[in-house]
Amino acid sequence: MPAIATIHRRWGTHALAVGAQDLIIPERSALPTGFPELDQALVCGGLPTGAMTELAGPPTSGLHTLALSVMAQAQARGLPAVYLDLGSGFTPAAAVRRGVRLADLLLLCPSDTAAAAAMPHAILRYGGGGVLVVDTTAPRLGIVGIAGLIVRLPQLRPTLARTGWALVILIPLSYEDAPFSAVTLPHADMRVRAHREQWICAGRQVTGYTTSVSIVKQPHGPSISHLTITIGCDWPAS
Amino acid sequence: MIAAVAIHHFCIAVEQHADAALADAPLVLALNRGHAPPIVLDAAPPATMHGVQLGSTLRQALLRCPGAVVRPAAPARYQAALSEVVDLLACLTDRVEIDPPPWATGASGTPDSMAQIVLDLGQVDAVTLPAMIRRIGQILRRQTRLAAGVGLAESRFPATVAARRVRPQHGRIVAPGAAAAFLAPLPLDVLPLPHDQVHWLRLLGIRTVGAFAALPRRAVLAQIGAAGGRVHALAQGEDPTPVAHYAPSAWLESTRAFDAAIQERGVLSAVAAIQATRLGSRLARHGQATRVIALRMTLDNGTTWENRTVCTPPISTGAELRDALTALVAQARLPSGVTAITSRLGELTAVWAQQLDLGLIPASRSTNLEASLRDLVARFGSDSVLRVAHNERAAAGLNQAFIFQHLDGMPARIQSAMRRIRVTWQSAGVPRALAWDGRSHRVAHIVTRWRTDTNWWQTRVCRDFFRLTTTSGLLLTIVHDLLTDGWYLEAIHD
Repeated sequence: MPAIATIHRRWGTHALAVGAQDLIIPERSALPTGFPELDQALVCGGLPTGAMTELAGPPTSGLHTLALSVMAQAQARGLPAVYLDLGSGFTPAAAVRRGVRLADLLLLCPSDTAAAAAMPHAILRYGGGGVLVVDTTAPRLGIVGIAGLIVRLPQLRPTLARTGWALVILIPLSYEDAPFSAVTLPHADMRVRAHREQWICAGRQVTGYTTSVSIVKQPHGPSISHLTITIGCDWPAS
Repeated sequence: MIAAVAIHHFCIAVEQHADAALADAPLVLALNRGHAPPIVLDAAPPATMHGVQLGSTLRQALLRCPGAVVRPAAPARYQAALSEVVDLLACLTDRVEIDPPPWATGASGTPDSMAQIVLDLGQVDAVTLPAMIRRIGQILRRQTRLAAGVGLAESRFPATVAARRVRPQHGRIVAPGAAAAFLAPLPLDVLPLPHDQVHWLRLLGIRTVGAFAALPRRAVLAQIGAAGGRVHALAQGEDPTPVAHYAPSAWLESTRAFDAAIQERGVLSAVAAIQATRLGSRLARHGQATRVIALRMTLDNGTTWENRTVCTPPISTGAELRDALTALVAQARLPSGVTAITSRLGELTAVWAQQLDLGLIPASRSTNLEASLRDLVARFGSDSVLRVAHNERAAAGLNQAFIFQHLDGMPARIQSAMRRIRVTWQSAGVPRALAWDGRSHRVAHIVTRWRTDTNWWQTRVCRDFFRLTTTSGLLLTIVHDLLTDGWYLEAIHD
């Protein structure tokens, strides 16, 4: 077709692509999640840096495991890991089990909404890179405070995009909500849903569970892809 | 997406909130119009059941409902209450607006019993719309106990119609592109047309919005004029009217009037402290701080005492406001009793920078994270940035093996504490169900249990630990303190 030939002549053969085969994906670094099957399903190979990722799921769906695993992966690469705890969601023992080095972990505990909204900006404005996890699953600030914080998070995107930080927001789902019906972040670059499928038992012992992970949205990649990951519970000797 | 929130009988709700005795009364609010006879602004359902109609004269209302409890309408108070509701919803978006308030008569000349607030939520994914409706309803119910109908649509008019036609505590979503189809079967009353024009259209056989929308626009313009042209566009689901930016008032105020004059400074300080807490939470909601704090007291001899203080730097917390206001109370010269006390905050400023793009600091000027941590500690205190370390003198329990420290290594005030929960148990102290997060969870299976009994010669710790799964799908570790007989949630495994 002469039109296609004209475009190719002017802009190059990569200007037009058929389907997703020759799609040019801009370079964007990513932090691996620590779950190889999930990293394979993600186009970037992990959670993208300079972008906002939303992880949503009910309790015992593997949300915190995912977030802590990403933090451990970041620390393994020499990057800082910061956890903004809006309630009592942070469990040091679980963090240690997932490989997080506590000595290199920073825990932010805001006392009110103003502090909760200002802290991510204060971290991001100095540039650099790392992973910043904002945990809204057990809030002390109340529903209005959390709603106000969530509405302000998109304002961080211009600054976030120019840093190497991966901003990960943990959002709780109630038991009755279907996996896709949560209030989500406006303008999140990536949305992931988690939902526990079944327990893994060794005799009468629960040694872990399988979690259904749905990638609802990701930059430059197919949305609505599903996979199952296995989360083991490495209990300490009691 | 535009969200419209319709609060039925808003003025009645405000009066009933102020006086609990009016809860089930056939309350009628009479709006004074100067020389004209007062009309009914709003009426509670027990009064409307007797045939009291909004906009009718008070005399007609009393003829229909002789037992009606009549109160004079106070539009200023309703406006203040509505502004507080707008203030709450402003946490969702900075584009919030009050549609004409109930006491402003519309095209029909009749007051409206519904207070309506419109929000521009911006781009919202279709899958999140039902949850957005639930969230708006939750905010209103928990903060104000108001029951509202919520409508969501791509433009303003279909959203307001959807909100008005839905029952309280329910919502209606008008799918993108379906506004015209949603409006089509509705009666002409939903359109902002005068009564006589609606009557005239009915005489012509046009009874629904769809039939009106199907008329040629040129014909509508010729017959009704430019206003009719706008209504014609509304009937087709087109309403480009934007939602204005929310502009909170320049001053935040909280007023308390007393039935009898108060002379005790302790009482005045306590009232000022309560006002400080309320104003502080409003500042926190919007991320604001104040530079000017003013206190005004009306005395029973007809005079007013007022003083103000300027804060440098601006303050934002309830505790700081409390200190400032109680200091002002202490300074007051009161020759007679106080009948009203008003706390005011002015020269409000944002706590955090709005221009985020300008705040990126080049890496060469500082070591990145350390500088931002120093900034956070300076602004929010040393307890806001913590490190976690292993506790060498660990008490029994998974998380008591760790302590939280400031950046300088000093132990923080907040330490990991187990949350107390309510547990029903079988014999031998085995848990059967527990209450957490507002609901009950039956224990499905106890994965493992163990006991720790340590620190005999210091502070003895004797606890049973249960790692269990629940029928609701949780995997938890709970603790039974055998010395205090308390049950605690150690961790939710996620």
